[in-house]
Amino acid sequence: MNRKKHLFIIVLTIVITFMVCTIAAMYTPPNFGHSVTMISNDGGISRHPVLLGLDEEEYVLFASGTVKAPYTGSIKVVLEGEPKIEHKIYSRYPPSLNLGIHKFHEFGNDTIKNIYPWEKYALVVYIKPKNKIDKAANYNLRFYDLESSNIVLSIPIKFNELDNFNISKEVRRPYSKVRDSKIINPRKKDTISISKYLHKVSCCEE
Amino acid sequence: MKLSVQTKRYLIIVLGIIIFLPPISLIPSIFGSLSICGAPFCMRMLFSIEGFIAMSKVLFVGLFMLIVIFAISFFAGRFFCSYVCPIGGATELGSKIVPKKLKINYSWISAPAVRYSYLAAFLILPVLGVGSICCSYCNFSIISSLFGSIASPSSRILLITFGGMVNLAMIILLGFLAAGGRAYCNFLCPIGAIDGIFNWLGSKIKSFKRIRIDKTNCGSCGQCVEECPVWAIEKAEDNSMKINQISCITCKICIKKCPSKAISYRKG
Repeated sequence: MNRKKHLFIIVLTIVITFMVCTIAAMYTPPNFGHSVTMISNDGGISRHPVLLGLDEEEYVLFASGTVKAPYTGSIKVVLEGEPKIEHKIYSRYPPSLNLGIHKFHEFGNDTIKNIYPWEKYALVVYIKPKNKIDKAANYNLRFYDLESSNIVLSIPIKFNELDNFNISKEVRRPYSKVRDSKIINPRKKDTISISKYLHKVSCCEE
Repeated sequence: MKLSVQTKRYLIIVLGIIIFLPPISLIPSIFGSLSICGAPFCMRMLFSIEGFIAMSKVLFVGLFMLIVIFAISFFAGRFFCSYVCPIGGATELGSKIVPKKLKINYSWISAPAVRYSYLAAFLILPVLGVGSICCSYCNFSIISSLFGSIASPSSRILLITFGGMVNLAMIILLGFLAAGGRAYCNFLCPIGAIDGIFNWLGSKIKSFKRIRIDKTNCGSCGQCVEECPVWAIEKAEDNSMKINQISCITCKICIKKCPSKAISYRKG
């Protein structure tokens, strides 16, 4: 193979790889959403609402995060919104084979039991609606402290007709702080910056 | 009974799978995690949009592992990739049970070109605001879910999502069905891409050991080219064999296969 042809193939490989990666990075699947969150006494943090498409047969919502000190307790997880939709909540913790090296929280009856600061949680919500989901309906995955009934985390879920490549801009608007369904513009003053967010995650004090 | 180098390597890989991946996850359990996917282990998220310094606060184990891996690669070769990595190791072991007839040979594709353009996309796309390929298409996550799905329904559900299916297809096509079982590592592992640079830099220092070919003994039979799982050996214009240190994972398969014993792990 001559040198020019070899160079052309390498350049072509680079261009194709970059194009495929760009498409993959922009695409947001309509039936899956991952919410990186934090449970806290003051209502928790969810970085953005979960945007899902309409007319899907099933949806999977993955909610993971850590518990911010000083919160400790048991939490009831409820998918709120009208009309009710069929769903099942699974927890990845405790591990199926618990070696007893670490004290993991338990999960049962949609309740996270005895979770403590800096402990990680990962919930998988499998939604299989029987009827068509109404575009106007508001859904929230809410985490209630069992003792006080206070909300310790709320993850808004939006069902909409999605353009799978355009919604990524809204979903990925970086690190906006969301409480209920309100999206706070990250450019505004009350936005949480990523360095502050990470500081909160990694340190004990706000 | 004396075990061969390759048998020892496979046993170490199995040990890596046991201690790093579900359902046992011995080391992640110490840190309250389920696998090496996510905090505080993920080595790939360190290079994400949030920035290396900011992410290193939450991914401290990943940062420690990364430093150790790069140091080993610089001084001795890519032993983490070939001996320890439970992800690449799992696909390599998995590919052993696939019949040769079904194997796909990707050696016609320029691996460094794909690898470094993937790495560039991995680093640049989030900065441009396009999005990230960091977690959605990561084999660290899917292999963990695959092993976790043995006993955990939540892991099984994650496998049936769009990202899960795409990842699974990539693992099958670029892992289990690939000749050598390391095409995913060779094309799409950002850690491997950076690790390759450290390996290449270290190989320039003659006092550091690397897989090297003794040209005087080499019969240019091409056996090593056929057997290399990461197609890191190529025929030079003068018909001699040449090891591409940026791709070599120090697995030592070529040493065993060379009929003229021209390949060895030695100083330059």
